[in-house]
Order: sequence, then structure tokens, then C-alpha cells
Amino acid sequence: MADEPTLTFDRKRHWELSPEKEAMGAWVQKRRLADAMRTVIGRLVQSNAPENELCAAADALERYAEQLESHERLRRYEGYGEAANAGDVGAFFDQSPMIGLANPLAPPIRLEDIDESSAVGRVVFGAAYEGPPGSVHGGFVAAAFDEVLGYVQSMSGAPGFTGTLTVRYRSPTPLHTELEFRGALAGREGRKTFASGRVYAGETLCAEADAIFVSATPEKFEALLEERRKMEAERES
Amino acid sequence: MSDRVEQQRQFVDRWEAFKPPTSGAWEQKRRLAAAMRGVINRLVQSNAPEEQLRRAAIELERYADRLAGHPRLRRGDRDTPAPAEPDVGTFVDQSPITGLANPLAPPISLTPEADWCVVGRVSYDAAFEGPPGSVHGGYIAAAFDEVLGFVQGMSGDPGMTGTLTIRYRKPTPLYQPLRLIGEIVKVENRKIFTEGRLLADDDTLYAEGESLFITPHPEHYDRLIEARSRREAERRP
Repeated sequence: MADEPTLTFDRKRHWELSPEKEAMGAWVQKRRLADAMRTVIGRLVQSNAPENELCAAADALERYAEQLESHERLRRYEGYGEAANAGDVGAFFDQSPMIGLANPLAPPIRLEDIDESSAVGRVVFGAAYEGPPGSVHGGFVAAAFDEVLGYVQSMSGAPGFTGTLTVRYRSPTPLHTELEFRGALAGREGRKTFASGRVYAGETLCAEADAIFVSATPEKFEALLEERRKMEAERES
Repeated sequence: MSDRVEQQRQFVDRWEAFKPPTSGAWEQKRRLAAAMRGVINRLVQSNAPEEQLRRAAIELERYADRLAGHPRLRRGDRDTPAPAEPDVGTFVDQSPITGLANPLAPPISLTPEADWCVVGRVSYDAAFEGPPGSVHGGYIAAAFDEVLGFVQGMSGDPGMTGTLTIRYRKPTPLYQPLRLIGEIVKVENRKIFTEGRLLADDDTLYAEGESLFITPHPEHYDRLIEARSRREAERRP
């Protein structure tokens, strides 16, 4: 088992490509656009805007979506090496739906190492992520744990995919408040990596989580890329 | 058993009553949300030129300012208009997972199919990518939380998520029609036990989940609304 190949993971390069690194050129504007969309999303769900104004905005955005469609497409994970050399942050982390500064779905979470086996994810969830009144939707609390523990497990040197994730909710997680998702490695057994974490709002413990990750072989990763190429070719034909 | 059928009927009636009208401002809000989804999914993959992205960002920043000028709706407020009036739907439509007016939502569409059972239907686009060509595991966890959170409401005394566990069986593909089936397994005092499965059209199993919900004391919800009002007042000095 120990001899089986796993995905190689250069943590230094991971950091080089991380969202904290300054973007260049079009990526600066892409991040800016994503940020403006986050603000619109946050205000839209709560807004009592009049019908004609909403209609005009929908028209404009439909046109813009079409315009975007006319450009060449980028794909996450492809050209990973080239992107690193060119200092292009976008190809990898900027597109993530949890930490990606260029993905309007991402709150986004900012990851930071604490030491060799633990990290913290800092995030503020806005109005669009509301579940119970004034509180973050429990699903997004789970999603944030998946992201932060997924980052922590990569510190083991044998990154993999989530096998099991368990979240125990302790008290409602507030919106509009800086949250700290603290995660740490909790051991390895064969291809399994264990990680656990807690989320705090100030001193208040909001939830705890445990996750088991199963390390991925390079072949598995390649197979997924191949599968995606097929899927996209089908969609385009 | 007939109690369960009756409870189910009442629950579905209540839920239907909360659906917003398919006309007027809500309809345009949903259209705008759908147009934003189109932009979000293309943006992460687009190689659009810097200048075009910059112009779009400026437009959206302006639009965000305009939205801020309108009165606000709040999810789950007791004083939102009664279901018979035109501006309802703040709860159902604003959900970050099922809400048609929330651009974050894929969205999942829910159909109660039998007593104590619901089917969620969804397909995920490019912005939700985790592993290549696959849905981010965090968003899968979020989907389980929403669907199991819906089905537990059929017990008559809806609770809040206590524990959520997801077991990932294989990567869940983007773009494919998926079904997430949620069921109540048993109810014990204030505890509601639920289970769910995420399946492909051909019944391939991608993930399984279970969640325990705990019915809060009635005052709990009011306390959350109070806390939200307090925090919002603080944010607006």
C-alpha cells in the first residue's frame, strides 16, 4: 500500500498559486467583476427593487453572458504547470467555488497555514448565505469545512478526495461576522488521511467537523480529466 | 400512518403557499438570478479580455449601488406579508440552495413524493467544480443539508441541523441530471433522523448522507430574529 503512487503536491507552488498572490492583467478585472457580483447577489436576495429595474438588469446580464460565451474557454487543472511559470493565478485557485476570488459563488474563504499540520480559513458570509434567521446556512458551514479540511489533508503530502465528512452543529453560525475555521491533521492509515476542525465566531464554538480523505493516484486524477474532456466535447457537439 | 399522510399534506400546502407568484417583480428577480448564474458559470471559464471585464465590473458596481437604495426584505421575518399578498417568497426564493431568486443556488428543485420522502433534482454547472469535471464535495454536503432539512419538516415539528454526515462514494459529475432522495427514518421526541442518497439517472450512487435534526424550543427562532435585528442595527450606525 505504502508504495502506491499518490498525487505529488508541491506546497510551495500551491502557495505561489494561491489567491493571496497578486493577480495580473485580466485576472485583476475578473476578481473585481466577481466581487461586484457578490455584492449584487448579497443585495439582490434582500432587495425590494421594482420590476422594471430588475427586468433591465436581467436583459443586460443575459447579453453579457452571451458575450462571455464567445471567448475561448479556460479549464481548471489544465495547463497547471504553464500557469505557474507565467505567474497566472487564475488557472487553479481563482476558479474554486469556496476560495476562488474570481468565482462569485465563493464567499471567499482565505486560507492561512498555522504550522506544518494545521491551517485556518477566515471568512465572512453575507446575506445570500442565510439559512436560519441571521445565521449561515448549515450546508455552507459543511462546505467550508470540506474546503478547509481538504486543504489541511494536503499537508500530509498525499492529497486525496473527501471520503466522509461529519459536521456537528453547536450553535447558530452568524452572518456578517468574521469566522475562523481551524483545521488540523489527525493522522494517517494507509491511503486514509484524517483531519478535524472547529469553527469559531469570536470565542463562540459554532460547529465541529471530522473528515476522512482517501489519497488519489495520479491515474485517478488523469481519468477525471479525460472524463471531463469527453463530457465537454459532448456538450459542445 | 394516516397521521403521517395528513401531516405531509399540511406541510406541502404550507410550502406551496410560501411559493412566490410567477409574475411581477419576483419573476424578474428570478430571471435576473438566472442571468447571473449564466454569467457566473461562463466567467470562471472565460478568457475574456481585460478591458471588457473592467467595463462589466464597473456596470455591476453601479448596479449594486442602485440595489442598496431600495427597501430590504428579510428571510423568515414574522412580519413579511401574508402568503396571499404579492411580495411573499422571501423564504423559499432566497435559499442559497433551492431559491430561484438567489444566484448562488444551482438551484435544486424539490418535489415531495410520498409521505416522509422528498426528491431534489439538480444539475451543477462549471462554477461548482471541485475535482476535475466533478461537483465540489462541499456543495454536495450543502445539497444534503438542504434536502434533508426539507424532508425533516414533514415530521410536523421542524428542527435545526444537529449532525450531518456525508459519505462520498464516487466523484459526482458536473452537467448531469442528479436526484437527491431524502427520507425521514424515525422521530424520537425532539430528534428527527433522516437519510439521503445522491443518484444518477441510471441509479449510480455518488454519495450517501444522514442527518439528525433537533426541534428547538419555539422561543429559539424568535431569539435568532432578535439577534439578527441587533446585528443589523450595529452594521448601520
